[in-house]
Amino acid sequence: MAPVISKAHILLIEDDQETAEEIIRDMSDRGYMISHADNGRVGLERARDGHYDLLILDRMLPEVDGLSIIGQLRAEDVRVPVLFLSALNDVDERVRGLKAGGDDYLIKPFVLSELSARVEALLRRPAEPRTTRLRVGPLELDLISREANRDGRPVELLPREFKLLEYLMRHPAQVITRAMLLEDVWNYRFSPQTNLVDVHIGKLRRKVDAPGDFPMIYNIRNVGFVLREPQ
Amino acid sequence: MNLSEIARTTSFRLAMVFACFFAGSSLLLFAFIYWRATVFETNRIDALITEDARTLASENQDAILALINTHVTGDFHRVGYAALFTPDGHRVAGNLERVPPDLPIDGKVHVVRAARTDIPAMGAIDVRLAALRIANGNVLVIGRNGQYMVILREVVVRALTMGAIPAMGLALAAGIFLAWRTQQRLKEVHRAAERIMGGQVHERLPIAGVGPRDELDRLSLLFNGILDETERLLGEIKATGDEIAHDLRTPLTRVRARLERTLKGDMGPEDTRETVGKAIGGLDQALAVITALLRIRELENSKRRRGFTTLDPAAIILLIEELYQPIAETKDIVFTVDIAPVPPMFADRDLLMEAVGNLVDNALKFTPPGGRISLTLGPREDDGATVIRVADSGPGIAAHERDLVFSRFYRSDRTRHLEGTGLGLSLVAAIARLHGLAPRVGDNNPGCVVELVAEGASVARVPAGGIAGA
Repeated sequence: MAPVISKAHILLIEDDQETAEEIIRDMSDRGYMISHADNGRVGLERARDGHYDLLILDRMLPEVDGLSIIGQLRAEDVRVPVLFLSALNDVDERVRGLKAGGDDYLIKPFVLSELSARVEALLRRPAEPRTTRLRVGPLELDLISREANRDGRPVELLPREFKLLEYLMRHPAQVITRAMLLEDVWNYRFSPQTNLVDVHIGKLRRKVDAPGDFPMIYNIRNVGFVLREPQ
Repeated sequence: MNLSEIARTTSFRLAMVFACFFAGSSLLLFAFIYWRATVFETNRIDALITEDARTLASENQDAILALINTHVTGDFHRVGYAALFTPDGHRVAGNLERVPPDLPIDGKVHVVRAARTDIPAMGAIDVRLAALRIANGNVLVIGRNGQYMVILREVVVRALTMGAIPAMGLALAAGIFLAWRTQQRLKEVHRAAERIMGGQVHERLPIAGVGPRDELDRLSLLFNGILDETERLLGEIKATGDEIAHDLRTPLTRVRARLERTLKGDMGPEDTRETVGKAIGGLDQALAVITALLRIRELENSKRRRGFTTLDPAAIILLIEELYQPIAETKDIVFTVDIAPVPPMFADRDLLMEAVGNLVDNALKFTPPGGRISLTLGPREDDGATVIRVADSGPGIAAHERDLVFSRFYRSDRTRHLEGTGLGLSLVAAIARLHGLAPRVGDNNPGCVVELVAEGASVARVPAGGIAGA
C-alpha cells in the first residue's frame, strides 16, 4: 500500500537496536524518510534543529528520557507531533505521557500496522477541526443538522453510527485500527473478546455502501478499516 | 555484656540521671527538714528560757536560790545554766562565774560565750542565756547550751545515710538491671534483624509478650507490620511471576510448534502464511495475559482514586448498551437494558465502563444465538443498595465454581476451550473492589448472573419496609 503522505520525515528515538531496525524497515517500506537516534541526548539535539514531521519517541531512553525530551521541545515551542512508545502500561504513565505534550501513546509490544496507522493519523491531523460539513467523494456529512447523504441520497444513521462515520470522514483514506476506533470514538479502553468494532463498521457499511454503489468502506485484513473515495 | 557497654545505654544513663536527681532532691529535703527543726527547737528552747526566767524573777530571794539550786543539780544532761548575781556582779548562787559582759540584762534570749563553773572541762561555749533584774536589784541569768543542735544534726545525718544512700544504690542497681534487660532485648532484635537481612523473610522481631506494650514492643510491632507487607508484596511478585510463567507456557508452546513446522519448509505459501498468522495470534494472547495480569495487579494494589468523580452510573450503562446492542442483534440475542434511578456513584468512568463492558462482552460470548442478555441498574429490593447486574441465558457457571471465578487465573470449564486470557472476571473483580463494589455470581436458571453491589454505600439508607417490619 502506497503511503498517503510521501516524503514525510520521521525521527525515531529508540535505544533498542532491533526494535529500531524493524520500525525503520517498516516505515521505509511505506515510503517515509526516517532517521534514527539511539539515545535521548542525541535525539533531543536532532529534534531541535531538524525539520521533522513527526517524532516517534521511546519513553525510557539512556541519558535523557522521553518525558524530558518532550518537555524541553514543548518548552522551546517545537510543535512537531510526538508518538510515544512505552513498555509502561499503567494508566498513570499514559496520562503523564500525553500531559507532557505527547499526541499519542502506543504500548509495547505493538503491531507494526498499528504504529503505521497512528503515524499516518498524526501526520494528517485534520486541518480544520471546526468545519461544519465533511465531504469525501460523494459522501457528505452535516455536523450541525446531524444528517448524511451519498450523492444526495439521505443516509439514515443512528447517533453511534454518525460518530463513527464522522471519525472515518475526518481521516479519509487512512487506515484506522480497531483500537483507535475504540479509544477515539467510544472512549473505551478495553480489548473486547467479541468482534465489537467489526459489527459496528458492518452496520455502517450497509448504510453507506448501498447495493449497486461503489464500496467506500474497506476492511484491511488484520489491521482495520479505511474510508476511500469510490474508484 | 560488660559494664562499659551498659554504661553507654540510654536506660542506664537515664537511671543515673534519676539517681543524681534523687540524691540532690533528698539533700534539699533533709536540709529543709533540718532547718525547720532547728528553728522550731530554738524557738521552743528560747520560750522555755524566758518562761523560766520570768517565773523565777517573780519569786522571793530564798525561793529563787532554792530553785537555782534545783535547776543546776537536777540537770542530768548538763545543759542548764542558772545563776544569781548581786547588782555589783558578785555571784550569789548558780553555775556561772559572772554575768557575761556582752549579755544585755533585758529578759530576752541572747547567744553568748560562757563557761559553767561546775564542769570547768567544758570551757567557754556558745550558750543561749537570758538575764533580768529581780525586785531587790540582783541579776538573774538563766539558759541552756546548744547540745540539742548537735543531737539534731546527728539524727538528720543518720536518717540521710540510712535512707538516701541505700536508695541511691538501689537506683543505680535498677539502672544497671534495666539497661541490661533492654540491651538483651535489643540484642534479640538485632539478631532477628540480621536474620531478616540475611534473607529469612518469615522472621519477625521479638515481642516481649505479656502486659501492656512498651515503646520497644510498639516499635517492633510497627516494623513487623512493615515486614508483613513486604513479605506479602514479595509473595505477590513471586505469584505474578509464577502465574505469568504458567499461563504463557501453553500459548508459547503452540507458537513454538507452529513456527517449527513452518521452518521445515514443506508447506505451501498459503499454509505458511496461515501458520505464521496463528503463531502471531498465540503471541498476542500471551501478551494479553501479561497485560491483563499487570493491570489486575495495578488495580489491586491501587489506593489511588485519581480518576474518580461523582457520576451517574446510568450514563455508563447507556454507553455500554449503545456499544453492544449491534452485536447482540447480529448474534440474534435479545439484549435488554433496564435502568432505575440510583444515587450518584463515586467512580472512575473508564474503569467502570471497562468492568460493565467486560461482563456484557463475556455474556455475549457465551450466550448462544436466540438467547437473552439483560443489563440492569437499580436499587436492591431489601436494602436499596445500588446493583449493576448482567444476566445471560448461556451455559451458566457451576455452583462449585462461583466463588472461584473472580480469583486470578481461574478458568471455568466453560471458558477453557475458548480464546482469551481467562482474566476478564478477575479484572472485573479488581475494578469492582477498587470502587467498593462487591462482585457476586449466581445462577440465572439457565445461565449466569453477575452482580456488582455497592454494599458499603447502602449503610446510610433506610431499607425499604425496614421500619414497618421492626
